[in-house]
Amino acid sequence: MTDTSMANTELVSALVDGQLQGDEFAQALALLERSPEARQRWHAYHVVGDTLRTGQTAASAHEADFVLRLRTRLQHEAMPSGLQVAPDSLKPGATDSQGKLRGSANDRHWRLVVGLASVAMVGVIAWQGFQGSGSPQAQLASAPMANPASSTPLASDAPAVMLRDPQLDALLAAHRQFGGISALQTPTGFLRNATFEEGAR
Amino acid sequence: MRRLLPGLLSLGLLVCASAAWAQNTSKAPASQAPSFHESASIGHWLMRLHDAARSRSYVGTFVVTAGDSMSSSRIWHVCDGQQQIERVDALTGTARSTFRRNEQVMTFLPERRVVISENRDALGLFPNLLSRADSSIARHYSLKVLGRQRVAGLDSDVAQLVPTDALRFGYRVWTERETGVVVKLQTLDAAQTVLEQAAFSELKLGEPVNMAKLAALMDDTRGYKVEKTELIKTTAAQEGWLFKGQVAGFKPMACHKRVHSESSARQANTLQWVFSDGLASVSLFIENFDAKRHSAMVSHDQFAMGATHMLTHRLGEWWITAVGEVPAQTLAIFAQGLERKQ
Repeated sequence: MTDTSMANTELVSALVDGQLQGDEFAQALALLERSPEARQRWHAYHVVGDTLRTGQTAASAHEADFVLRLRTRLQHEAMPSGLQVAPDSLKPGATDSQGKLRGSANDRHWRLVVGLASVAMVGVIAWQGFQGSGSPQAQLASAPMANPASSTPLASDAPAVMLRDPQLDALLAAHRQFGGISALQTPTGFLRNATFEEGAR
Repeated sequence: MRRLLPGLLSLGLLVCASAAWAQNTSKAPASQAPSFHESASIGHWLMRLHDAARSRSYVGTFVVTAGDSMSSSRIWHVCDGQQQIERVDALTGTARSTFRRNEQVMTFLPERRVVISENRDALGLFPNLLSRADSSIARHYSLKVLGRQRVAGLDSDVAQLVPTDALRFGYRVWTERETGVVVKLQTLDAAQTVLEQAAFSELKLGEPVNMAKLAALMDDTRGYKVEKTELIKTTAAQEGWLFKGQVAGFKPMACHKRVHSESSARQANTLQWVFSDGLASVSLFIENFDAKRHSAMVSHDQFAMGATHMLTHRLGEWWITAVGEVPAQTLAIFAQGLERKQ
């Protein structure tokens, strides 16, 4: 084992133990991002920890593989499916009027929403068509689609196209930060919002 | 397989299958009137969830699935009856570490060497609001006990908050049997499709967490630039706005303008008016219509991300954005019920 890989091993171990902050924390996250080995180690530590604590494995490498396969397939498959792309605005690396690179994770993130939302919608519609109109549940589910508010074209008319817009991201973040007034906020809502990344802060 | 299923569901790849499943399993329609006992116990049940968070320490790994995205974090939670301190280290996406001491929140962004400091008053509203007699939760949701399941290796009770109308989503909640700690939460639409799920994949209850150490980490902002977001409290009436619409159960809860130390004057002009029915909340953002920024969105005015929907709407010289964990048609009622005072 080289010195580097030794240091990396220790870094992952310290991250699992929650001992890192600041630069070291960022360094560990960056390592996990770029190194499949480090990610495997991360999982392995959790599996070992869980096994020692509970006598059973809660996390497994299969899950990591699954997520990885999922991501790869999403990248290859989800984008073209029924996706209506607004000109330029959704192209990776497209520039805005100031010539500034629009970028990053958000692009992919919103585009996937659109792609999958349209796949999902097609699925639902197809299924409902197959089932016929005899079921009250299906009617309930399709009610908003059948009777859209006048000013709001819904997904059944045209797939909801997600324009990547930093302003929308900012409002979404503001809603998460200051609008989440719910009795479920302190048990779970806060954790959910701190965990889930959607839009730049 | 149980662990893989939420991810698959969230993809929408199994939408047909899940819709069929919902059809077969949800025999009780959402409109079914709750028994007195069930509706009376919602408040107590929610209080138990809050008490668990206030009196238990734990360490765990938390996984959120919304839309097609999956995020996870490592969580440390400690409390002493008075104070709760929580640390959430994101394991996916941008590196960030979020600390919460009761209503005070600090988000460390190591890549930018920035820490965002906020005071989230909304976090302190409950459980005081729950004990109020006029709480609308029991009127608009019924509590249905579903049974028992194991989550993250822990025996859990499963209950569902069933909405009484189509204006809001339902929730399925798993609580650890002994402590009442929420271990899993799903948001469901009218067809019982899971829109979003948040769950511990691994959780150690009663794990000793050093409160003083967490507090010290939270307060240690050396090497970081502190950005503080302040809100100017105001009222909609004072800002010239009225809500003429009727959305059963939703009450105006807060109204403010945002002042961010780094933001432009433009952002500070955005008004945020928040409504809640006790479980779901809706933010109405009101700003000046700006053709350059907003015209591209006029023809595509509706978006969804997991359970969160967004809708934009032009109202004369104003630009309205409604955001909330509610169905799109509820947001439409909100956006259309807004009026400028003459």
